[in-house]
Amino acid sequence: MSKLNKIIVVIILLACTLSGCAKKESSKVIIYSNADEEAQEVIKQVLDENGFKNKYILQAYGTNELGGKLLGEGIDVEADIVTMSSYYIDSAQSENKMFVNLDESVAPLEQTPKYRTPLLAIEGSLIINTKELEEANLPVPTSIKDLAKPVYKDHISIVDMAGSSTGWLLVQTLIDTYGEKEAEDLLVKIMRNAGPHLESSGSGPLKKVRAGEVAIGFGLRHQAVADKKEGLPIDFVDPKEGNYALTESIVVVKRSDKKTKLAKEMAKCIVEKGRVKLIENYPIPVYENEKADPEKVSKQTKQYTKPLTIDLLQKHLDLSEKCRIEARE
Amino acid sequence: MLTLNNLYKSYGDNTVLEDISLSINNGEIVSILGSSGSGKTTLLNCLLGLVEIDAGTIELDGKDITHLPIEKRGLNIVFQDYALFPHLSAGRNIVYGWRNNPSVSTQEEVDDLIDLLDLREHLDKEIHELSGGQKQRVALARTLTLKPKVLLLDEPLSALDGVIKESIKDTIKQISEEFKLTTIIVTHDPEEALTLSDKVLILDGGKIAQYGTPQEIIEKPATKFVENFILHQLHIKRDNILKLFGDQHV
Amino acid sequence: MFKRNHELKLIYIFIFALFAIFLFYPLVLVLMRAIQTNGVISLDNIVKVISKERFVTSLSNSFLIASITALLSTGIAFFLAYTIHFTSVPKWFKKLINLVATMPMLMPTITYGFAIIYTFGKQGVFTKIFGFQPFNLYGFNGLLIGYLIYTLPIAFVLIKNTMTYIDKKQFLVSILMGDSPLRRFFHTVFRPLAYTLVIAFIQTFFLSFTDFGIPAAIGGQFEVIASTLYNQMLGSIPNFHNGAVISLVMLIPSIVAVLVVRKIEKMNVRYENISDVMLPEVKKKNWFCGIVSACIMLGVVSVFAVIFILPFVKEWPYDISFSFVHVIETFQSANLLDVVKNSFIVAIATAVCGTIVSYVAAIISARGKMPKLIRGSIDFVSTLTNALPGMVVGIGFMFAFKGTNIQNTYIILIICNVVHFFSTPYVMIKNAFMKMNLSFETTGRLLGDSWFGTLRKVMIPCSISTVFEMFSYYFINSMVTISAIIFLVGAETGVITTKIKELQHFAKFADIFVLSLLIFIANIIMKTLMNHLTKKESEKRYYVEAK
Repeated sequence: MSKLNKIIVVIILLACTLSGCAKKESSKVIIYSNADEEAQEVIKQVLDENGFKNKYILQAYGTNELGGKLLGEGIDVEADIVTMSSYYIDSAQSENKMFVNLDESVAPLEQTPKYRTPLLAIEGSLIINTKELEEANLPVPTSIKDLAKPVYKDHISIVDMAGSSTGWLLVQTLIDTYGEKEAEDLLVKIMRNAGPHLESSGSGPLKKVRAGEVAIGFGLRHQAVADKKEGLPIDFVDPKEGNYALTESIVVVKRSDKKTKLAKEMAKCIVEKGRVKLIENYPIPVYENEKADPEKVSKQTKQYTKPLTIDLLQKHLDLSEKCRIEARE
Repeated sequence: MLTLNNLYKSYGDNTVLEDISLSINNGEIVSILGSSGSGKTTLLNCLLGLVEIDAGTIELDGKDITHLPIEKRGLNIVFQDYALFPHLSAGRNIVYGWRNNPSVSTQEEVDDLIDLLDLREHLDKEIHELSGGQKQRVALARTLTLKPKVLLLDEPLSALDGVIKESIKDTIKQISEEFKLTTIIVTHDPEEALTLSDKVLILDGGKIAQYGTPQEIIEKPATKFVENFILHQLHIKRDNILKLFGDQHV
Repeated sequence: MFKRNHELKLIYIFIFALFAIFLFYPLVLVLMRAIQTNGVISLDNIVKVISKERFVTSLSNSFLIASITALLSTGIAFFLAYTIHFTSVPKWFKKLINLVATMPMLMPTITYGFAIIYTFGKQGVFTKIFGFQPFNLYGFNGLLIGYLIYTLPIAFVLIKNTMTYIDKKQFLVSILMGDSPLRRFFHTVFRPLAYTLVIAFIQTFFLSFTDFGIPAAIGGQFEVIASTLYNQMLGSIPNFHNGAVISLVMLIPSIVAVLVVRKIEKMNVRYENISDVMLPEVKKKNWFCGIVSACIMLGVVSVFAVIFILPFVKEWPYDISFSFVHVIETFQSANLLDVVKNSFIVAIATAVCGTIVSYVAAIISARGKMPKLIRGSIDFVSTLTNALPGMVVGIGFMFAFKGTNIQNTYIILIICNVVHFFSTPYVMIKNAFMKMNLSFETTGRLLGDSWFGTLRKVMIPCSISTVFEMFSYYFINSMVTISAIIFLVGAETGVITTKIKELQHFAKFADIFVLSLLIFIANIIMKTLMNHLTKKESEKRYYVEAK
């Protein structure tokens, strides 16, 4: 065999070992989460306090990237536990069958599949920059419908739901409250008002509000609450239509029995011990017998009338796309 | 006539040229001979106008060209490495400058020049396809189409081999005669200088060691330097050649 | 002769295997999804996606803005490089140009968009100081500025590099030949650079064509193809099939680019001698080039100033008192040290491996007398890596190496970076090789060196400044990259940029700018080190001594 052929063989062997070898299981439980820092802190605290210290690694991701990883890597994902938007989890499960059923525990308010259980719920609200609003001499909006008024032209920022599910909350609100037909009309007007401030990232409007680029945005309520607490000229307005919410769930990925058992215990611990703390920052009950602080709770937390499935998302997305094109013309 | 009057040039404390005065008649071939560091390259740069001299004047046919920009002096040069444009063919290199000033030479003259330098068959070749001698001739042709009053040649023979060297020597002489072209050759090789030129300027440490005809230099070396270094090299060469033929001719 | 070919062949096999496994395989996995839905192969999906209005508009928008960016960026870069090489502005000024023109490269792109908002936005630094907003920054204008800043360094480095290898004596000849300034410019500067200019145009075109970070921040209603890709791949409903179709379409220009590069290959000019002669000084030119360069630099710096200001301000724009709060906060955050350590490990390993890979690849295509097909294939790889959106590389790697040993390790990050950033270092060193005397290897061989001996003793020393530049290019890019590796970092291999992405999610800009500064400082140190080494080993002496 010539030297050349030997080299080729070596390379092929190398490639084979690379792709063929099974991955070794790490001893620590790895948690991927799209949650905010506050929620991450709670998870860490709860685990540390309940004998899981140094037995896990928590890695944060943006929702979009984590979604991509779940769908792309499937069961080969590094994580053993994932916390993520519920509908994403459903979609990953139907595509890859990668999560195990969780042990029975507290009953969620909403009916949920066995492989996931809600961790927290986030809701949308109007976010305003009080200084900008004053400077631009604008009335405080009280509903999402208000955003369609011509007076707010170029002063508002919303999320394009093609880019992030935060945008979906706005579309849900409109459709649920006004019906599909009127919703379409309103969305076109709102998108026209937003103009260049139609963001693809869920935190886009908050960024724009915070930077003073616009006076009003539609975003996640708890983020605005945090900003207000920090002393920024940021305030939030619970819209008349109600604050629509999305749940984030926790799941355990199929692993060896031993690992799965440990992960399930941790997940259970996070939910059972963590909820009390999580509800402080995310004041929406997701389990029976939970109660949020009336001081913090939004005026009117609402759930979309139908279950939030991928199909529904697609349907709403098509509508939003249609509006976006119309708004530009 | 090209006249240099009391040229001085120094870089900081380092005096490179000191009191250089000489005149060169039209049509003469003059070699500037010296070892490296003697100032011959600086003198060339001064003539060309690349380097501003500190003191002195340069006159060409009675006109002071000391402070003229290089393109207006009426001098031109063929560099040691020829500096041909690599992206143009031999032919396009030759007519490169002529195309800027078509009135300087007629088409016929350019054609004659190409024939004279025996380049007709190479016109379409790329530069990298040419031999050293061919490149040299292309560079010569490129310069000559502009009919400079004075032609500077920087080490024109150093990169060439024996036979071609002799033929280029002849070519240079022929051109100088035919065009009545004042030719200044910078070289470090005494043999080249003495066999090629009407007059030789020997530089030593930035000063003129001797300026005269080859015969004068050989017969009456003006300084110890000329005798010891310049002529000595020739003696060694001669002795070595004679040794080849054994003792019978010595 | 046989022996030398043998060594080159081995190298070629190595390179070939590397790119087969780590470029083509992942890419095929992505692109397969374009034509395959649920195991059925059909073109329906492609037709469905490309007939969408959003797709068509964003594609044409991308072409428009990327072409304009590439043209302007190449032009500006050329001007700056010209000022450095062909005028006698003061030395310190040349150094300043060098620093400022490459500065944007030292920071992650996701920072640019926000930097522009905080500079020219309603509450931006510029707007606050001068009391007006210079232009509407969302959409075309903002994108153009962002892309220009983003692409300028690459174009500048490429052009400046090639200019070093231009024979300045031609300039003299041109003067003596009585050229008009325009003709002189054409034959002595423009024409020898033409090849590099086209390459710079192509590189900058694809950088803007594929970048997602800048349009995400300031694209406004001017939708570009990269954001459409992002929305499809990672939007609210990730659809890899649709994403794959868009990636496929985005690759078409790169195929055109490969053909163009092949076509203009012979435009590349090889000088036999590179002499650094004194050029006659033209005062007017010095002033003109100096002033215009200064204005360009001012523009670049003004956008970047905010990154240096914001981290030290309490809460821009509402409380602009000086404060270290953000810096301290960032440094106290839990895993910062790990993240910094990871970044350095990945960046250094990438720089070492990447420099070796692109160096030997360039030897094959520029120095070895290998068949055209082989040389062409490496050029193809180079253009392809350049034209690939990082997101596609990352997702491809994710598909290809899930469940393997290298998943979630440093190795996958390093390989990904080496492949992803292959193009520019490869082009840099290839250009240097093509300007280098062709007979070096033969000379070395004749002097009794082995092939590797010649490589070590002649080739590398003669190209050492380019090698250092390649090294810092790889280092810097792995420090600032995000789009591909975001999919590949594991729980224990997160780097600074992925941390930034995390913070971006929570809209913590001051912290983002602090981390960007951290990256900036690391990169500055690396660059300074490389410059210092270059000076020490200055390859100039090889040419000067030869002369």
